[in-house]
Amino acid sequence: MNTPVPGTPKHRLCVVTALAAEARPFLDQFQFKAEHTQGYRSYANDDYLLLQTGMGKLKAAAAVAALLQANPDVHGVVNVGIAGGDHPLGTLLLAHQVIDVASQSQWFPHLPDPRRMDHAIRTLPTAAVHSVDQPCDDYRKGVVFDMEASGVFSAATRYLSTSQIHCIKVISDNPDTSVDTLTTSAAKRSAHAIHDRFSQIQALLEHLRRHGAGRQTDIHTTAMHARDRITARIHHTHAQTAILMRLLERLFALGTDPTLDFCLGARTADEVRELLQQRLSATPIRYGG
Amino acid sequence: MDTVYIENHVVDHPRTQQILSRFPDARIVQIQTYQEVFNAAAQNFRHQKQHPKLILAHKAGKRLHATPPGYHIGARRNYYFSHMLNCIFDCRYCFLQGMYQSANYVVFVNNEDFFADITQTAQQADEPTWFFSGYDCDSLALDPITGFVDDCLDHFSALKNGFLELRTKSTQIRPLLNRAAMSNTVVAYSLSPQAIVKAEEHGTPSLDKRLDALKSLQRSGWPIGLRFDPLLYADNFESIYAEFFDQVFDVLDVDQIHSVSLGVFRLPRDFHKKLVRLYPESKLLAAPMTNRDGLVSYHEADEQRMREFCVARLKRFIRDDQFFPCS
Repeated sequence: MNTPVPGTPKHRLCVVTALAAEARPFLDQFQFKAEHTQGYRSYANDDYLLLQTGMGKLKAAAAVAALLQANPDVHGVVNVGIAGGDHPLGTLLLAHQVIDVASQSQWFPHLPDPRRMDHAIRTLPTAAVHSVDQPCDDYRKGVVFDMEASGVFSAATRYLSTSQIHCIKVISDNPDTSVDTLTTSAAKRSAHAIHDRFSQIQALLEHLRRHGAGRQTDIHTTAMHARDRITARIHHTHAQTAILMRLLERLFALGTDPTLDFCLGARTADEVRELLQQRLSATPIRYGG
Repeated sequence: MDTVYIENHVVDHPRTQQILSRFPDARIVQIQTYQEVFNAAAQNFRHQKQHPKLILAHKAGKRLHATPPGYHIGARRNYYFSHMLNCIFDCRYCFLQGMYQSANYVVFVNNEDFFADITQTAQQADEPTWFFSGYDCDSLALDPITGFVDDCLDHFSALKNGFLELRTKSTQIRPLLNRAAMSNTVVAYSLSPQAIVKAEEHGTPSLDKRLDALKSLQRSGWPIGLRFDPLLYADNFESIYAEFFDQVFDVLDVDQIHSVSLGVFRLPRDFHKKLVRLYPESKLLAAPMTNRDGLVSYHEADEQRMREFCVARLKRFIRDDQFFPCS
């Protein structure tokens, strides 16, 4: 019962960057088209969305929430950006923990399985990402600093699970080349850092897009479409809709044809329910031959 | 195991080091408490189950719990304990999916504290006290990594009035076969007809393999238990369960079976709701069910029919004193 429903939107992965300079390598490499959206800047192609939020966790949270609300087909969010830390410049890291330093809220992304990953990204180091409100040079082992990750997680976990939200950082400053001593602008450093590691970032994004958790199961999606077809024709209250949805899931789980031709004659929500229940009772549940 | 979370204060525990030595390539993430990872919101149990992570932790607070009413095999004093949370198997009916936010495995490394509590509790009365392992996990399945069973058996071998049940579906029985059988330890297998094993007990050993393990244990003198729980509804229920019981009792020495128990599928309402959300395509959850006093199970008439059929079949093979139906 895993037949895709015609017209079902494809699942897409959303890349979230703070700065235009961080977004630039993606715009250069992917065939994106700008989207007409209010309140945030985004670009899209068949497989990805690119969201540019502006700097800081509040802007990141607001933009991610708005985007996920408007795009139910997005099944994963990945924050890509620069960070400071006690690592060589240009090191690419995956976050195993994200902490909002101000509130001490924290998230643990469920990291992808390295055995299924491309060799080039299988051994990427991981780090705790501490999101701060101001640039920070308190470099410590195992910790990197950024300004957006906690905002992305705080908003995205309202829509998605921690298996579907990840954070990739490239080290742009460290104890030897701290923010204060750098002469290049943050924008230039961002663009260079991400550009230099772009092939690995792209491989990681592709892995997450292909192997990430879906937002819904196929049966649930099939049932949603059937429910929408029925409720467009016959008025259902909120409670009736919930009952309808579960009846449809149960029927599809037992292998009923999702076209539901036997329901066509129904005129009221009660009649629909009656017909579905009759069909359920008549559908055998068997194990084995 | 690709990622191991370790509580800061068990990093240097010898058992932590022993377990870590088995995963030299794992990402290591130090944490304050296992709850911050395990109980966190917005986790996807179903997705995590595909590649769960390991969490090594210290079990503080209450380590032994009185069993629910009806969960016993003849004694009055019954406790369960969990040296681990979650299970490597993926049985669609399992209540752990409804109870926990996470599919990651938590392994408590402070076995010594569990054993101290067990000794203290056993010594509180002059009558047998049973300790059930495998309530929130499978007792044997992860044993090659945890090494828990050997430690546990060492402890129970010297424990007066203390009895142990190791509940499992696993065939990891080497630690048991490598030592002399103990009269105060029952190895209890959860068994289902092979058609149900195949459809609903993902990743578990087949019925034949479990029966082979039971035969080996019986040959080595270990008391064994059979747990027909949960019984699952099907239109062909009677034929698959009749054939199943014939198969089980055909290969085992019935006189040497310590205990048999049986229970029909039931779940607390909230757990059931969560399972439906996780697995809306499940055939098991598509069966007709009802909510009675906060427990979701089959309609009373179906449940009674299933129970009566199984009890009648079982009584063809076993003695009354071997039988402990779950209430």
